Amino acid sequence: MPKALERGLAGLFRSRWGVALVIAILVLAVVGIGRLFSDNAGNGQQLLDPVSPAPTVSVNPSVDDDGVIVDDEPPPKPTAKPGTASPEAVAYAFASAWVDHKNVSAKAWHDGLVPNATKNLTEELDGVNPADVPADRVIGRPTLVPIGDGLANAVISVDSGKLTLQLVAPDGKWLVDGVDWEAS
Amino acid sequence: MTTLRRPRRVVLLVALVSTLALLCCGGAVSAVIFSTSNDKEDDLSLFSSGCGTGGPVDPDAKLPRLRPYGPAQMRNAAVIINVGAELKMPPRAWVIAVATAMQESRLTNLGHLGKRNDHDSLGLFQQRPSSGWGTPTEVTDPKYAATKFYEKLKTVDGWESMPLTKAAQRVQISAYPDAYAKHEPIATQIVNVLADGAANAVGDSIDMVCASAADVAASGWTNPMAINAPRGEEWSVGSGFRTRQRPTHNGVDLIVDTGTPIRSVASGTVSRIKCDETFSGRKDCDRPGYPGKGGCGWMLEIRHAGNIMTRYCHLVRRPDLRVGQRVAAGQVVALSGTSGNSSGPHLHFEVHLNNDRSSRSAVDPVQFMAQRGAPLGGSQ
Repeated sequence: MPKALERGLAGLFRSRWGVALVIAILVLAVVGIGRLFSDNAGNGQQLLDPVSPAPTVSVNPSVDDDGVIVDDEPPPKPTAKPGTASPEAVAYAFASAWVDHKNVSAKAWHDGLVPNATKNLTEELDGVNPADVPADRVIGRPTLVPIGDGLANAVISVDSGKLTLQLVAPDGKWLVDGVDWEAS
Repeated sequence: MTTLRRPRRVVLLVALVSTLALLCCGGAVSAVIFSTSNDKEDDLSLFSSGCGTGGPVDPDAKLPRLRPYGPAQMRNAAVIINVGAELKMPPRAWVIAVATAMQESRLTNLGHLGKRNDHDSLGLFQQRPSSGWGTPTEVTDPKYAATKFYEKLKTVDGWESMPLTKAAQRVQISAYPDAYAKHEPIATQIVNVLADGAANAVGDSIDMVCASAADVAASGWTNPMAINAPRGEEWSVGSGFRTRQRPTHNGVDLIVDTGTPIRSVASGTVSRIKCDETFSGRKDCDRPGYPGKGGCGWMLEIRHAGNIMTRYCHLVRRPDLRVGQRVAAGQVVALSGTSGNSSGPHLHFEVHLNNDRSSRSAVDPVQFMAQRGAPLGGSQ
């Protein structure tokens, strides 16, 4: 420590007023810094204001466990009614028609999908330019993932990625109701 | 002697002063430390919910990140939201537009990708100059692209109440129309962080007010019951999710009179309609149940975008639906009752994640619904 500073500090602390002054400066500095930062930190307060129009809570202890008894059963394996196509066959036929998009008119491409699609999906695909189909070939057989009773996803590998078809069975006949594709 | 004592006194005094300062202001210091560390967790802001009253943020401001999207992508999202607000489109349109751009371009303003390019599609929404969307320079301007998207969305009849993927498909006309659905949860979060919780607001109104039980929020979610009250103010959430008394209670019980219309909490596909077995294996769901009988009674399951399933139990009769049928958010799907293991009329409501109907995947519906701007009520 340089001599001058040492002497100055010693002088400051020798007087009571000096000590009081140092304490006052320290306290002001700490509080001031706290104030400065607390404004920014105030953003966290939004967490305390939940969405408003919420119903109140009252506990009704009289209702026992009222959920399903056997809830771990996975959805059943999709089956087809006798005389109708299996879900795998429907998915494969749809996927083959979907990738067949080169040198076809929009109408011809759309017509090829209709036999295996629900009315809903037929409408959704109305007006699609077949040139937009991002795949050229079906590579694998469909893998079925049961989602519900009479509801399943079929996942099919295509040359550019993965095609996911949502299958439903209104009136027992399996049809494609949704299409998604993801690049590999 | 004095030269030795002086430094000691200085040390003593400094120690005293700093101890005093710490004692009197320690709280303020630690508050500063803790609150700044909270600010760094971007997740917290996801639950801030002003219902959009604060308006969208300026795209040129410093924006929060939301994985997997970086600063440039969040900026594009902010542009999309701001354009929507300027065009007086309600917040549901902002969520649809952001989700669409997530699918088409990952919120990146794509230029020409050479041979890999999806024909002449360009920009955030992959719009095609050859189909009349605009010149290449125009469709690669985020403001122009978003404006064109909203203008076309506005012409779609009933877009406000459509499932997100259907509304997006009407504008984009994609060869795989269900692709937009999976982006709905993150698009909702993005709109919330960039527009003061706007996804919690009433979806089809530009007033920016929090959605009430009857409204569908901009997130696409709503309450299972539209009514506000038995006594004029509100209906009540009975037993909560996995409480200490009922650790295996995998849903919440909402106390309502028999015959109350039950609505689907989001758009989806009916995946199961069933009369659940009782302990004795009987299936007599058409009569009122009693405590100890066992089972869910007449039950309904609906699958939603993002591998989410909701379950509705103790219905008064078999819901008039078929499996595979698509339902809209807020559509009446059943009537409440007291069938199965039930001491009185109520709706037992469950939310499951990961395309899994087992109890493992059940989450607290109160929390889940509150995060989507459709609160059932505080569970505490």
